[in-house]
Amino acid sequence: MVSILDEVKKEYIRDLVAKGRRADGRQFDELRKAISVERSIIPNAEGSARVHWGKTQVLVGIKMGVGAPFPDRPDEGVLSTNAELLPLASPVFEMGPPDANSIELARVVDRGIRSSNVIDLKSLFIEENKVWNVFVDIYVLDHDGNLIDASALAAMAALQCTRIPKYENGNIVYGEYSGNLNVTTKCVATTFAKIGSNILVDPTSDEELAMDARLTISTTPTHVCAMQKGAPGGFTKDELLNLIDKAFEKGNELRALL
Amino acid sequence: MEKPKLVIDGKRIDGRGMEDLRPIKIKAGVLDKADGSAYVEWGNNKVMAAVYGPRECIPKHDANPYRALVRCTYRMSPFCSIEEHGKRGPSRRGTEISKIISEVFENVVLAEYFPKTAIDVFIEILQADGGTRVAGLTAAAVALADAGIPMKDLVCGVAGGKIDGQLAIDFGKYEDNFGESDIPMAVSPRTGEILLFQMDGLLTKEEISRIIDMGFAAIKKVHALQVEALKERYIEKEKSGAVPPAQESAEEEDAEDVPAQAANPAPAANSTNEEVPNETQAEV
Amino acid sequence: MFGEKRFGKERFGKERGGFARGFKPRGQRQPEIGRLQREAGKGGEHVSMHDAHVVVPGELLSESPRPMPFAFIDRGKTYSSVMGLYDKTSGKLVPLEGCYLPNLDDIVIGIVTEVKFSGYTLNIKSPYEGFLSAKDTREEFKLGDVVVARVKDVDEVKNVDLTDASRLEGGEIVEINSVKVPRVIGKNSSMINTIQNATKSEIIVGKNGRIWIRGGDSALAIEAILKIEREAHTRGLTDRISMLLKSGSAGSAKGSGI
Repeated sequence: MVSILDEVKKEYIRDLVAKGRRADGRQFDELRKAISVERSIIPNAEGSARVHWGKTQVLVGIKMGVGAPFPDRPDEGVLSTNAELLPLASPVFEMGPPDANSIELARVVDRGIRSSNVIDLKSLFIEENKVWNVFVDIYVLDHDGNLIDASALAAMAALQCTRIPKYENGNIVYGEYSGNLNVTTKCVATTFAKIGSNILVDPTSDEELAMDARLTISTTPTHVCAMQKGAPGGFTKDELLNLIDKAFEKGNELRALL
Repeated sequence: MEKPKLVIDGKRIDGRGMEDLRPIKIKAGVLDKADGSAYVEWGNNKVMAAVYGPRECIPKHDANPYRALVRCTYRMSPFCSIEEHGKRGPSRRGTEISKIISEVFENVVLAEYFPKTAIDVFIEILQADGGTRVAGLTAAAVALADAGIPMKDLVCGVAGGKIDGQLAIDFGKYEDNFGESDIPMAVSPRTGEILLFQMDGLLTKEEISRIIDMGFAAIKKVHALQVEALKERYIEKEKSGAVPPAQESAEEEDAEDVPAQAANPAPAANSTNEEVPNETQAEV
Repeated sequence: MFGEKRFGKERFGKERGGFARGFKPRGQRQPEIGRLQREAGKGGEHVSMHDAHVVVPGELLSESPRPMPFAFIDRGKTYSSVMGLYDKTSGKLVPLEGCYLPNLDDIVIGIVTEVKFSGYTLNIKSPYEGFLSAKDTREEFKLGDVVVARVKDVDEVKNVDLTDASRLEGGEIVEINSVKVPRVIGKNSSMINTIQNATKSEIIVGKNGRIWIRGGDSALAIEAILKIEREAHTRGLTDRISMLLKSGSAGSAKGSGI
């Protein structure tokens, strides 16, 4: 029953897009205007940031702990990313363990950060069998689409202001800090939605309802560091390559906010 | 480890007196998708509450044919604590708190207006520093009002107890950890009815009575902030390009009229669109 | 897939203004728009609220018992149960927020979400669905059809029966909070008539907060309606709407995305 309303919405969006228009008046290659970043808004966390992205709102908190490294990377710290699609963010989110959407969101954001070496994991080595664990938690507070890009931006901003707690005599002294987390680059994500034969950047939640295919491209200033195609539709090779160019362009706009 | 001193010369570690509240800020209507929402900063606590409803009750077999089901969920973010990263996923403590907060709203929400539906309240503790359940409940009440859910009162709460042998109100996390007794309570300010009450530690009856009195006084102040946060929503809106409210302008012709709500919410509504002033109201 | 309800997802009904800058209803037959407009304009008592002030749940309205909707009486005194506007002189309480609760004889605009042998289920932007019995209509409707209808009956458990249904063809739909509908209609339909005259659009206002607009300068009509929704509780609104209508459309259907 609810899906009928969604079908009606989808048709409307598809009609508009076929005419070259978007519901909020943007161009196809335009990001939302009201994108802003606030850092360190959760002082209890070692790092944090909140992103307002149009009506989408995402909060990222970073906590650090000490633990054993992975056996195959004994001299590296451990990065772990989780995302919660909070039920307060949208009528379509339910309480419960992370579902596939939330897991995909966390893993795509993580992939960008990891591949581009935003954090030099080797610098998180403390001593034999002890490394810093970096816990990145993505908390979606308000869902109006494009959670991946908003979360990636928030995660990046949070990492930029993350402080490393003091570590003395085998104990973490929370509340006291020994320095900042070393952040080596700025990695951001840009997501495109394909509706019919048109491709738009930065879909709202209504546009995501109507989209046939989705492509997320994470970039550093010089390289592509992660890509994820979502939704059942397809892209041609040319479309894909063209979007990489666009992703660098949009990525640079976003990097300017960091 | 030696227990730290919490009270020195009648002042607490953050300089407060025994009956002083921490600074509190409340904002209503902070989220777009939720039907109602509120954000509360209470000392270092940062709490977000949101309401969806009345909406279809899923699972259907939980639905009550006579009233809405009021369901509250309290949860802490994994990054809320200054200490280590929190466990991801539901906790037993969270489940208990969700239950006792749900019970408060089951009392004050006029759920008979919306049979068969659910009203879902979500409380997220973004940063924690003692007294999160009462801060969460305070935020949830504002979120429910923001959503237009009819209630008997705007409830709020505070936690009190004993630290270093002295009775005090509104504990920070440090005081919580090292105090002798902790009493979170919530009250309907209009009637003085106690709707949430927990206690641990060892206290005499007189001590509990005194703490309740201190709690009531503090709750009055918190309630005033809730009211302000809600009323502010409408002053804000007026500032955004509109004209200030309620000017006695005799000149204005017909249409400075704010229309009365035609919908009559009382059950067994066989009313017409006219107001029915003699409609029986729920006697409380 | 059509008609399948996504379990547990999405509250049906209540949406803030801005969902549809228009979705286009399908269909062939023309309803008697004139009659429907006149019907829809009825009801919604308008009250002079010169002394109105904002009240909150639990706030004292009167020291004596004054029964009125959305208020309750406790030990002989009257209190508000909602956040609303209260005018002491006329003794009227008007909620500022809330969902649509169907009442007998309301004209509503619904969307067909289920087609059964016995009739049709309609989403009427409420926690409750409407049911149109096959016996109550000669028209045949399809999933997704936009239909204007009258509430024939509401029982104690909020089963809602509809009648006098007609498909609405073409045009666009705007959704606003149903508590603002009386303001959009205005005293003796003054406000809605002003909008219709200025835009030359056909407009049907559903009590449930769905408004159908066809033809004329529909974008301007939508803009005016959304402005009324935002500022319904303020004074001087009629003049500001007149000014808006005179100045013409400030732009095409502007988005909520920014």
